[in-house]
Amino acid sequence: MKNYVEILKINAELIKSLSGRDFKIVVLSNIIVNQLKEILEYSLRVEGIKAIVTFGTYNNILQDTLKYEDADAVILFWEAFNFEDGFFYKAETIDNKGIEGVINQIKSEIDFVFVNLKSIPIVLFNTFSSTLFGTSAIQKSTLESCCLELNKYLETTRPSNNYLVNLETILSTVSREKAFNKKFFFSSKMLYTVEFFFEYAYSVLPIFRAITGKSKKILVFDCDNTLWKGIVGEDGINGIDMTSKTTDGIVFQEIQYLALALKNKGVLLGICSKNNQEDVFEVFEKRQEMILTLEDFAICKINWSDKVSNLSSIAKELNIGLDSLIYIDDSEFEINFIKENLSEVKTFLVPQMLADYPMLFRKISSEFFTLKITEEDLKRSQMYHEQGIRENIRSKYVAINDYLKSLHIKVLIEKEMGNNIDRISQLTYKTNQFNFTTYRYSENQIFKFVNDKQSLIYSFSVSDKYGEYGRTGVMIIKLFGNNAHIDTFLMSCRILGRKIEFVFFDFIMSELKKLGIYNINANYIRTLKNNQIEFFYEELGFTLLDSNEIKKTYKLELKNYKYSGISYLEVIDGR
Amino acid sequence: MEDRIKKVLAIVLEKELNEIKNDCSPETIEEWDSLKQMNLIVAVESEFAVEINENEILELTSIPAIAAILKAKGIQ
Repeated sequence: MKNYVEILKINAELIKSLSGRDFKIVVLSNIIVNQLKEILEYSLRVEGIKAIVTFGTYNNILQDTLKYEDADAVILFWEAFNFEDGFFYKAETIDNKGIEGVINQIKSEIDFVFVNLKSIPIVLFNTFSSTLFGTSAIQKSTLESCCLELNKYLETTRPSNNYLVNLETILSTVSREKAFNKKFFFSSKMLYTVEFFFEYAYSVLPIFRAITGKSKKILVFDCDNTLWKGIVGEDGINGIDMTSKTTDGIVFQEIQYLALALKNKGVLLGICSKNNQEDVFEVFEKRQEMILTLEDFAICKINWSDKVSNLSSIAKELNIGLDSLIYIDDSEFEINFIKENLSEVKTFLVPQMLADYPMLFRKISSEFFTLKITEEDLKRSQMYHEQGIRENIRSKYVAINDYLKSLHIKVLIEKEMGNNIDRISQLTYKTNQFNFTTYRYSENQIFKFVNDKQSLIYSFSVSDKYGEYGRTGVMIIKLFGNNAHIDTFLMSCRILGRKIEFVFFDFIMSELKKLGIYNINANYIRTLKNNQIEFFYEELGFTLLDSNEIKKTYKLELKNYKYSGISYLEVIDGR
Repeated sequence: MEDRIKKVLAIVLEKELNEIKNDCSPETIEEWDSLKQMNLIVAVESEFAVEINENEILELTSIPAIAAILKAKGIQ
């Protein structure tokens, strides 16, 4: 594996030396993928792209799709194993109806994501994969079936700015064992290893090259032992082989077919060979078994000059950058010479073991990538017009309120009387992002709050048309005469982005009014994880009393509280 | 070895080498959170060519602790 420390170091240096504007990539995920950051940045920065990778909040894909309008690219790491907590081991025991419910929910969430990201230039949408959680080649697991159906959905409905990244291909290259991060998976939901992320970054690099105008444009070949077996100047025109007559010859036949396919896709081909021009031309003319013809090559430099001069001429004559040129040769001497003197050119050495050549060639081919609206993309858009339904649903969900309303979200709010002490305590330990003060309370401490007449605990449970989310929000309030102090206000990640915080607050404000409270005090204590809620109290109309690098202090006169007016969430009073 | 450890810490935590004190830890450096800890583990494994197992992860939280674990794995 590459030297990780070196890469972190070079990555930090490159951002200082690269010029031009930042290329902002936002990664949205429902798992931890933070180790991708430096690796993806490095892979792009060494190509001259000033990439800056940031992450959305954990497991907040939906609402984050509304947040990052100025991103140059969005990458979605949406893992099936974590559709719900423990889905990867619970899925097998959920009945068909339950699974159908999950699949339908994810499909509507996919629609939502497509619509919200429609103005992002590039969206990399990873295919859903169960490969790290199942090994049977002959029995489909429930998780696998879910992934298959959802991937079909992605294929048939994706907008043209969405590119599907096939995780199976990457996992095959890395191997299941090397991709699965058993060190950190159970403690941190970090599924993938650094090896996986290196391969991922390498796989998606061509897209980023294309979108920043740094695509590879031409593939230049040496001739002898690169396009055919043998040396035409020594073995003669009939002594070289590119046919199925010999086991070596057939490899070169394959290479020529693959090169022809590349050319048909719009990649330029070139020749740069140290030979007598007539000898090489004779091969193309007289050997009928040659798959490639001279016309397939945009440019030929066949002479006895050095290859650095020839490749430079090729770039100049075609008016392309040296960094858009890839060169293949069987000579280590030539490759090293070019590496040292023309470092922008990417070079590949024909492997000693010829059997490895076709695989290498396929890898080289994957470096050539063009962004274009394909006929398939056009056909897909047509499909929507004809279908009508999906398109309607999509435009209907443009406003988040409509979408939320369609989920029929129910919020059951209860004053805690002692039945949920363990869950409430657990939430104070687990919740980091939507948590204003991050106080951790043991069950004993919660028990004390419940029995203290000067304290109030409210919590809520959430459900929607697809299922239950459980008890996912808590507020602990301390009373001092006519004043109430919000000691704790937190909500679990899994129900964020539904504006439940507003209706919860509305409910509690009403309750406090009934108790004769006039003033509310609240704090926002800064942590590395909760900066997304920094201005929430301002949004509710609280007055900021003080702000320093540790916390912000607020107050509100209850009579000035503005109710949210949200009607699309059903609030159920749990008493 | 302590110098190499400091260099690795500086690179992982994105700090200058002189900001890495001998007594540094997640308590003294705000950026040293659980996410950076994961990067640190990979960095130590890569730099010293060792394997850190799941049980040792949370122990690598100070220069002496890291040095001790490396010594136990035969690194000088």
